[in-house]
Amino acid sequence: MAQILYAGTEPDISIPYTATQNSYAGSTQVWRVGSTGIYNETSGSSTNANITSTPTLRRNSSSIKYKIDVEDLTDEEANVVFDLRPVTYKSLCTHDPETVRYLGFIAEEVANLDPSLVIWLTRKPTGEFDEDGIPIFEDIIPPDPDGFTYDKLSVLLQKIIKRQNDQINSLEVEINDLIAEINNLKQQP
Amino acid sequence: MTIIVYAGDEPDMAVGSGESWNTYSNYNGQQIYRTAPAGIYSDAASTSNNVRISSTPTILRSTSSIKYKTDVQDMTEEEINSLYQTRPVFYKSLSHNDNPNHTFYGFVAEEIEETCPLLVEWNDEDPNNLIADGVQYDRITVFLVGIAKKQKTQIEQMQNKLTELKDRLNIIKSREG
Repeated sequence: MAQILYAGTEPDISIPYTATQNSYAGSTQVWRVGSTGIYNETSGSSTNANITSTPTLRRNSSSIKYKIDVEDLTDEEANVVFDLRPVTYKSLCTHDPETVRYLGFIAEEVANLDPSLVIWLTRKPTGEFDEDGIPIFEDIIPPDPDGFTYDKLSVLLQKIIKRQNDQINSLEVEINDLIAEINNLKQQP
Repeated sequence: MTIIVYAGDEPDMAVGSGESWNTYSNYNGQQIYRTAPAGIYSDAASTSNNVRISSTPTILRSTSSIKYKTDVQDMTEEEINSLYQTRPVFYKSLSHNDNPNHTFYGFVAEEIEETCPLLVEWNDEDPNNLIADGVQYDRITVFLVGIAKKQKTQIEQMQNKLTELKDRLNIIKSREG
């Protein structure tokens, strides 16, 4: 069982403790996560976290204050959507139940289409530690395609669906024009 | 200031900046890494979400590489179309972590289990008795890719039919003229 600690008077993150703060050690505050801990701390809000190759837990942001060199997505860039292959599969991950069928994309297939849609594994632990006991990492060169940016794909889909909506609207206009023209013809003697 | 502790020989994760595992100590045989004073909320990134909390409960990294997959099959049209059966709702949250006045958008997991089971996030405390607990909102984009492809084909077919109808009408008009 993992334990989570934080130092300082103000915690930055608590990995929930719900009445299970049953360990405390000296100047460092130590919270043991109870068996009912983190899973019972729910929220209706969206996911906004990622684990990096470092490995570090990070908060994902969208504010302009974190962005530079902003450009509109082109139609052509969004077209990669049509090259993706939706699949279902069984998971080999040890934490996943074997009976469940999952759905998704395969990172290696996407890596060839658009590297921006891939979450890349860039570092891995060597298994060695330095003299201070700090783990030593090594770079993975070239990085391994490891995950897919499911949530960011909705940005490309917004572009595609908007285009398809425009196309459907113009089809409607053209069809109505055509019907009107045919009705005119019928009325002629 | 944030610290994360891990049991076992290899650290699983740091909370906060990984470049600053600048303190190491040992507590009851646990490895303790202190991270940057900036703490986790200041440690923003533009990457996609890839974290989930299992029923164990454990923080897990969600992956998509083929090395984690077996028995891969193309999604069927029927599976893709099951998204149309879902009911989008808005609601107020009962979770004490949420602002009670905020309006949230979403689906209801129990309904999704009936209409679109591939989208369910399962509570797998008992692998023989999976309970619908959440919705894999990120995976909706997988359905949407299938739907966008189908609609692209339909739109192209309609454009072709329309062009054909216009041509035929022009022929009729030229005969009458």
